[in-house]
This record gives sequence, structure tokens and C-alpha cells, in this order.
Amino acid sequence: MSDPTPAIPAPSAGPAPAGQVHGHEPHLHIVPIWQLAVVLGILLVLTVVTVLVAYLTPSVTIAMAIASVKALLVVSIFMHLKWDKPFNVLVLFVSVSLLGLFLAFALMDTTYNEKYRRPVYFREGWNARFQNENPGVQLPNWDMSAHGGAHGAPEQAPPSSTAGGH
Amino acid sequence: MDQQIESGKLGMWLFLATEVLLFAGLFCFYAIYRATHPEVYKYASQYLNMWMGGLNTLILLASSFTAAAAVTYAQRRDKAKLILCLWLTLAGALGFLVVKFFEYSDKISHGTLWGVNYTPHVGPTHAHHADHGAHGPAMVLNPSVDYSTTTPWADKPALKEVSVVGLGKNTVEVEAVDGRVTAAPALPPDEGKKLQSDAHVFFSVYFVMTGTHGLHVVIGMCAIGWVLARTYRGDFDSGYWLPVDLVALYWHLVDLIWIYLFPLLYLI
Repeated sequence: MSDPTPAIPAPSAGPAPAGQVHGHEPHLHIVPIWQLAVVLGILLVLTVVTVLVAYLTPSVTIAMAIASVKALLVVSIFMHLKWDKPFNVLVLFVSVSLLGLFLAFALMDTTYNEKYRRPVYFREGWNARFQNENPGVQLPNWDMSAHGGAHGAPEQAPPSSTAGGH
Repeated sequence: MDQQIESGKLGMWLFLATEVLLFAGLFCFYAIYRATHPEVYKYASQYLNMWMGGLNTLILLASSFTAAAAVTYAQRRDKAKLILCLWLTLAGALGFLVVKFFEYSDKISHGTLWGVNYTPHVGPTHAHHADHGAHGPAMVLNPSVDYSTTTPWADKPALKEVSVVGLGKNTVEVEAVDGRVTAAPALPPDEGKKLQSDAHVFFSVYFVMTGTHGLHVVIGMCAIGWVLARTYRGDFDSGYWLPVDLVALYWHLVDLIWIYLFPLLYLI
């Protein structure tokens, strides 16, 4: 009783532990430079990796996964969120979740909306192959943006011109 | 003191959350058009120079590192190194804008701009694809362009064969004599015009997203310059480092956005 030894020593009492310079900021965590340098190295390597992956097998999923790993490193180490208050983590988590929510609902509408379902003529050369295999058959005008191009409006052509083939 | 630091950081994180939501709208813009026009993105992204974008990624990552190091040195009260790191961060931001300037002036000279201003003069050239034709399309020829009067590949006289995007085995013989392309492209007019007429959507996305990001780079430079001036004035000599940390947080957000923009725009 006469020798009160506090369980938690006063910050300014003893020598400052490693990583803390001054005792009056007990929660301060100073990130050492070597740790930042390691993170920078990983980030640079991941940048090269994402370019290589895009070059060999382009994939949005892989590119976004690599970008998210990089973002996690930046947020946790560079932005100190690893040692920060959990509430700040929550703030970022909520905003990123809302971003995901917006994207999910926006894409839900576009990919399931029948009016946007157009043939992917680009990837397979669908139009060109179709016209090679079916010479003389007029393809419908997939273009919905109404440019009024030189090759006429397809609405004026008789719609039953290709119906005889069925 | 501790409470001031915590509330200052919380305020900054709340602001960064609104920044994420600002860019969320732009990412939705990107995603909706990519979902409905995947072929246009694939086609038009060939106009972008991925090496320029990659260089900017490296510059921003490095400047993000120096910004984080600046916070460490501010907390250690190492004024000389803090000033060095802030100058390096500022130099990285300036380097990013210089590369961006060259990219934008390239787009302006090629007429690959947003919306109604999209009037391309040449087909997209993709240097690394031209060197390795086996990996995919070298370039797309614009059927509405008279290539006999333009010299888009004047610097590549050895180029003889160009595969047309999306048509697989269909290839076009291009005679590059004295840098002049003499053969007419055999691209089906419907597909070529379709891709050409929709490509402006991609460039609208490109300029809105990189423009908003570039604005953040400029604002970040102002903030870094402000912290630099305060460092010279001696505001951070006595263990006060919060403004350095908050500006660094903002600069990391600029880096974060670019980490996503680079693969989404350049590496399609």
C-alpha cells in the first residue's frame, strides 16, 4: 500500500520505447522509413505485374484485384490506417461499400436491360462472318444512336425481305 | 494535443470519404458505358499510350512514398529531410502533370477528344502490339480516312501487315513505302464506322476521369506547397506535425484513384 507501483507507467516517466520519440504523444506510431520503402517496392513490382498480365491475358478482374492489393497497402501503411482509430477505418469502409453498391446497382440495370443486349460483333467478327456465310442477306441496323448514316434508314426497307428464308 | 490530432484526422477521413463518393459517380459512368459498349472501350483504348500511363503510375507511387516519408520526418522533427521529402513530392506531382500534358496534346493533335469534338485523324497505334503482332491487333484502320494522304506510320517503315481488330484472320496488307501507306484497308464499313462513331464515348470517360484526377493533383500541389512554406517558417519545429499528415493523406488519395484509373483506362 505504501509502495504504489502504477500498472501503466506514466508516458514521460521511463525512456521512450522504440518508434516513439516523445512521451507526451503516447499513441503516436511513427512508421520507419524502411517499412515505407518496402511497401513502395511491392507497389512498383505490382505495377509491372499488372502491365504484364494485361499484355498476356487482359482481364478486368485480375487488374482490379491487383489494384485493390496496391490500394490496401497504400491505405494501411502509407496512410497509417493500420495504426489509426478503428472509426477512421469504418469511415473509409462505408464510403468504399457505397461505391460498390452504386456500381452493383448500375451494372445490374445495364446488363439485364434487354435493350442493351447487342451482338458482340467486335470480339468474334460476328457481322463479317455472318455476311461471308450468308451473302446477300441484309443485316438489321444494330445502331441505336441514330446517326443517319449514308447507307439509308433500315426502317424504310420492307421488313419481310428476309422472312422468306425461314 | 492528442485529441486535436484525432479530431483532425477524423475530419480528413470524412472528407476523403466524400472524395471517394465523388469518384464513385465517375466510376459508375465508366462501368455503365463499358458494360454496354465493351468493344468501343477495347478499340478506343488503343489510342492511349500505356507507357505514358505506366510512367505516371510509377511517378505517383514514388511521390506517395515521399509524402509518407515526410510525415515520418515531421514526427521525428527532422526539418531538413522533411523539406527534402516535400520538395520531392512536389516534383513528382509536377512530373505527373508534364506527362499528362504530353498525353493531352497528343490527343488534341490527333483529334481524339470528347463527344462532338471527336474527329480522329489517324488510327490508333499501339507500339508494343505493332512489335508483337501475334499477341493481337496492331491497329484499327479508319475506313473514312484516305490513308494515301496521311503518314501515320512514317516512323515504322518496316511495318508490312496489319491485322484488323476483331476480325481474327482477316488481315490487311499495308505497303509502307517512304512512310506512305498506299493500300486501302479492307475493314467492313459497318463495323469500322460503328466503332469510330462510338469511340467518342470512351474519350468522354477518359477526359472526365483524368481531368477530375488532374484537378486533384493541382489542388494537392497547392496543399503541399502550403505545408512546405509552413515548414520553412518553422511551424513544425516543436513536434506539431498534423498538417503534414493531413496533406499527405490527401496526396495518397490522389495516388489511390490513379492506381485504379491506370488499368481501367490504359490496360483494356
